[in-house]
Amino acid sequence: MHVLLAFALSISRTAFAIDYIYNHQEKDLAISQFNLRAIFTSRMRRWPDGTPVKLVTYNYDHALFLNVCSKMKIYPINFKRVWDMVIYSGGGEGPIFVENEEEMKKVVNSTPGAIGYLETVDKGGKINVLQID
Amino acid sequence: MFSRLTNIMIKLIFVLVFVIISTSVSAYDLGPVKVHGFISQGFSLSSGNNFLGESTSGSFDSSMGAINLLWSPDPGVYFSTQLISRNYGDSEINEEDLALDYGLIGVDLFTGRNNQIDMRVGLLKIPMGLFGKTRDIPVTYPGVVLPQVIYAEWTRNSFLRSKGAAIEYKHNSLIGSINMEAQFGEVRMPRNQISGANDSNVTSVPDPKFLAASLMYNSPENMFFAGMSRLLVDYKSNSSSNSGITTMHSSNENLITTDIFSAGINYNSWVLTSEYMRRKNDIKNTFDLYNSGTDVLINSFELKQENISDAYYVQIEKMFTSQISGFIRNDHRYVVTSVGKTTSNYTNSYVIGANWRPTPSILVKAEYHNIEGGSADMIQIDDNPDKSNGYDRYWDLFMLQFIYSF
Repeated sequence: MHVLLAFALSISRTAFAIDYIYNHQEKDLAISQFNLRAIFTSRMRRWPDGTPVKLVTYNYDHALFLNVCSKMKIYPINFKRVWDMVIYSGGGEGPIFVENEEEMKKVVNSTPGAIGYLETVDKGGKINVLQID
Repeated sequence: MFSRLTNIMIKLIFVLVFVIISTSVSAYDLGPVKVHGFISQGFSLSSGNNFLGESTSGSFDSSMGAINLLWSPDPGVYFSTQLISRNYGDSEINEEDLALDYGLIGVDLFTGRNNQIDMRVGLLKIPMGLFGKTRDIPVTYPGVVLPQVIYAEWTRNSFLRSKGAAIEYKHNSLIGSINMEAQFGEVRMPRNQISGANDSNVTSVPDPKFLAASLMYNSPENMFFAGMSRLLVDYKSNSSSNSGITTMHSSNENLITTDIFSAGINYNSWVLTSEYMRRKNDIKNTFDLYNSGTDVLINSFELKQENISDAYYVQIEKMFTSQISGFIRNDHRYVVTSVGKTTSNYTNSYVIGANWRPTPSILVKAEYHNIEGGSADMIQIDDNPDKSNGYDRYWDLFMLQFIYSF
């Protein structure tokens, strides 16, 4: 019962916003919500200039990942299946998994073409924040 | 008995060691090469008929281990392969110490923001239905086994492995995404898996040719998905027999057409999935009778036959939490005959199951089947050698599976 309640709360709450961060030479990059969803479901694998997209995500039980699932209306198990289908069908790479926000920043910063997400980001800082149209 | 227990213990230890050493690892990197894999161990217990080993006594005869490698030396080029070790029941076709499921070179021919064209060459998986390309990976579908009326375990290798080339087009737009794929080549079916090929009179069995095409659509928010796929497999065998006075040359040609229509709806925590399959086998046998001494044609005749089977399943899955889901399903298959339904051409089963993912790397599945029939797809003679005179028409099956993936 407690597990059900906790998940229901986590999947429905919108208490914190999510900023999508990226590593690309182009600053002020903007994509549509539609394309963002396509990246997360492995349907869009290149940035507009052809650079491969490398999705960086938290594991399936992380609160931020559950928040992304809620915003995109996709259940965590279904994300896992989509990524497993890509990985195990021999059709491409799956996401890079990280444990915490520090690791997220580190991996995105060191991986060209990477896209990840954080709870809050200082917009004037060194990290590129993706504009979602 | 002792050796069987020893085998089971070794398998369990193998599983446990992997779990203990790396439950949090999602992939290994060998330099630029990405390495993924999984191991799985199943258990089945049934009444009446055996499925995957001697399940009426409780069978652990369903284990797999696979490693796949991906290397991308350039953003537009990749090499990918999977090695598998698989033991699923007592049929020879489902017992492989080590085999290559696929090994391919992929090239991105065109990549835009919303359009992509890929080409793949080598040892490829055959696209067929929603699960044709991932039927070998238990973490990609709910339930211990896929609906057997369409994805029968005994057809796993012959409807999965091929050598040839494929081209795939992906398009994203505001009205949804479209995925089109065409593939051709030869089915990688060992000679002893081709019907009639073991006959001592068979003189040649060319590799079966195939042509596959699929079209899938996903709505923008993934709420609705639908698609269709067609697979044409053409195989033949030639044989010759000599009675001393006459020589008979005969050929057996089979054209198997498999059409699958797939559709589903994702709504909140519910997923409704259904697929319908029609499989038609056009068989043509030709016989030429010669005088052995003079090679003069004495007689020639031809026999034609058409076998059709229809199958569908309807499945409703509910995601209870981020780690637990459950489903119910109805599977149905009917091999069309002039005498209607018999115990050997008909399957109707009701399945209820659950999936539990305690960690990202571990998946535990359980399911229960209530089955009427089943010999058209589930029951194999190798698993049921003492039932050659007839199978139990009504039976139950409970299955459990543990999977560790990285």
